[in-house]
Amino acid sequence: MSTKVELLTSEIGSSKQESLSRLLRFQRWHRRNRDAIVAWVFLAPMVLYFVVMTFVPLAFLVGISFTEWNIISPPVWVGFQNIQKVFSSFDNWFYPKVIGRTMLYAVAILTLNIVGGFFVALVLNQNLKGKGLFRTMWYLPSVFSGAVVALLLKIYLAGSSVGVLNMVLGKFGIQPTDWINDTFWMPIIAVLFVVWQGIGFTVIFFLAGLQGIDENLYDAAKIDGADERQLLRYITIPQMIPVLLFISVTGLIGSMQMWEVPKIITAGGPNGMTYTLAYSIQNDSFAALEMGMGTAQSLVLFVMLLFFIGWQLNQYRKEHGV
Amino acid sequence: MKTRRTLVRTLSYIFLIVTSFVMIYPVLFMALGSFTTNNQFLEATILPIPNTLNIPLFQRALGAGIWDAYIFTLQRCAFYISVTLLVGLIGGYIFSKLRFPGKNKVFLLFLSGMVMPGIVMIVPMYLLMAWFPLLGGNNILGQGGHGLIGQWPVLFVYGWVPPFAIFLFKQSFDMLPTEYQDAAKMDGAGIFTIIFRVYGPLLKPPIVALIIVTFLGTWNDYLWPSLTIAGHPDFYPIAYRIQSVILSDWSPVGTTDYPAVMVRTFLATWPPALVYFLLQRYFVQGLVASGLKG
Repeated sequence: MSTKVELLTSEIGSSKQESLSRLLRFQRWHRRNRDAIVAWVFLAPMVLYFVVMTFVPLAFLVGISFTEWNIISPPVWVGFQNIQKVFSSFDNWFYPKVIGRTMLYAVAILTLNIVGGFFVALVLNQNLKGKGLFRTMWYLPSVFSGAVVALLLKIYLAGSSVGVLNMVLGKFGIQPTDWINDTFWMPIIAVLFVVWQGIGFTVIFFLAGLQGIDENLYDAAKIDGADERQLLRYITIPQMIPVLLFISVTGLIGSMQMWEVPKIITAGGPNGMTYTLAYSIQNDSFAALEMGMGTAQSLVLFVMLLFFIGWQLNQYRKEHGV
Repeated sequence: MKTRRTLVRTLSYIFLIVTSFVMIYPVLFMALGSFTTNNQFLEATILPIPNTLNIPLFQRALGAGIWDAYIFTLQRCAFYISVTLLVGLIGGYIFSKLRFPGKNKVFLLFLSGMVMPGIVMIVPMYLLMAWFPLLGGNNILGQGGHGLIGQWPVLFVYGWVPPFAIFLFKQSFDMLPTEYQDAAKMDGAGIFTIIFRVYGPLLKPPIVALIIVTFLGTWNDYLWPSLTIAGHPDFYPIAYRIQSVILSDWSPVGTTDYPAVMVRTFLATWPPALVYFLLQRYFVQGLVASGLKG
């Protein structure tokens, strides 16, 4: 009898002990890995969401670019035909022209943006009165919706003599022009519009970069007798390379995607001169319902951007050994 | 030497006055134009001279759907600002202050989101929404119906894990000492207390910067709504709404009631301008201080 009781209590005791030690072990494990547990509890849903919203669509993109599909009837597998079309003489070299035009716009926009933005930032970086006000005015166009200001521009550019721009110019005796259908002016206006909208961002970042440069560098160089041009060439510009890289990468991604002007103002005209890749993607996908062509062009744009960004980063690494 | 400096300064002032005016000219023209009568507007030489506060014009514009679009857009802004700050702060904290396996890989994964071009993603994102399982008449495989296309949730479901916010907050957390966290942990503080009570008050500049950026981005959003919600004017965000409202009132040829058009554009553009004017000090500070040193 007594032995039985002993046995029982010892059994209870050992199982209790065991669960206690298991608890202790868990606690110890928990304490040791607390950071990792907390991190992954929050990160797991974030990663899941991110993958679903980014990589699942990318998989769709690649898959659909191999098909001919109008959304309504089932897609037909056509292999590389869409990609081939993008790079071939199809429709009088239509798509290569779109890509070339998009790159020309991007180069023009990016150059004006960086050179202009850098110059304005240099001017603003002096100790001037009202410099905050000037900075605000330069940034103002960037806070508006590109679509809304493009609509405003469309109203300004209207061709008749009561179009706003023509009306103002008419007061100075200049004949009305049909701006939107003018093959000479419209591409220039398109570039200026995009630069006008984006340059404030560039100025602010350059300005911040300039203010971050160590004053001692200038003082040291001045003692060595450097003139202002040398200061700019050997101190300011090299010190600004990281900001320059940032601006050129974000600027490139932005300018290669110009769509407001063709979508809202010109419908790609006049004579296809503002028919950019970003507009072509939307047009083929949602107006012509050629999802295969739309996704094939998206893919080309994506690879082009990745290539340029990679090239820029690589140049940067090579020059700075990072 | 002295005269040369005065010359540079004078030229700088002239340059800045002229170019700043050119930069704001189109917007200023619109803003002043919304406070004129049509005759006054048509007489404008360089700028229209405001001569009236045409209240019926504003009332008519607000009645034509702009007021509803305001409310809806503000709800959207509030939603996206909350999500951005919540996820951004938690993510930034995790990547900055916690040590765990796989950290750098996940961080790089999120960063890759920053170079995803919007235009490239627009077609497949549209399809993802159209194929969303079990919603809008879809079956479990996402076939058979319209999914989320044409329904208001389509304007709320993307962008919950904002890479830029996570990056910016990580940089900001990096600049704050880890000791705060250790001390708070000793007192038994949980992760939310540490993030929002201990570090939160010290992160005002990046928080305000992200409020501005998110507000502007959501307020100005046009392309995505124009593709996914077209035909359901009750759920048009302001930037999209304004287009239909303006184009109904404006023709490229013939006479137009310009002040009416300008009033509408003005109503769509003043909030971003105001938000920027009020908060710009933080904007530059927050964006730049932490954004550039990466």
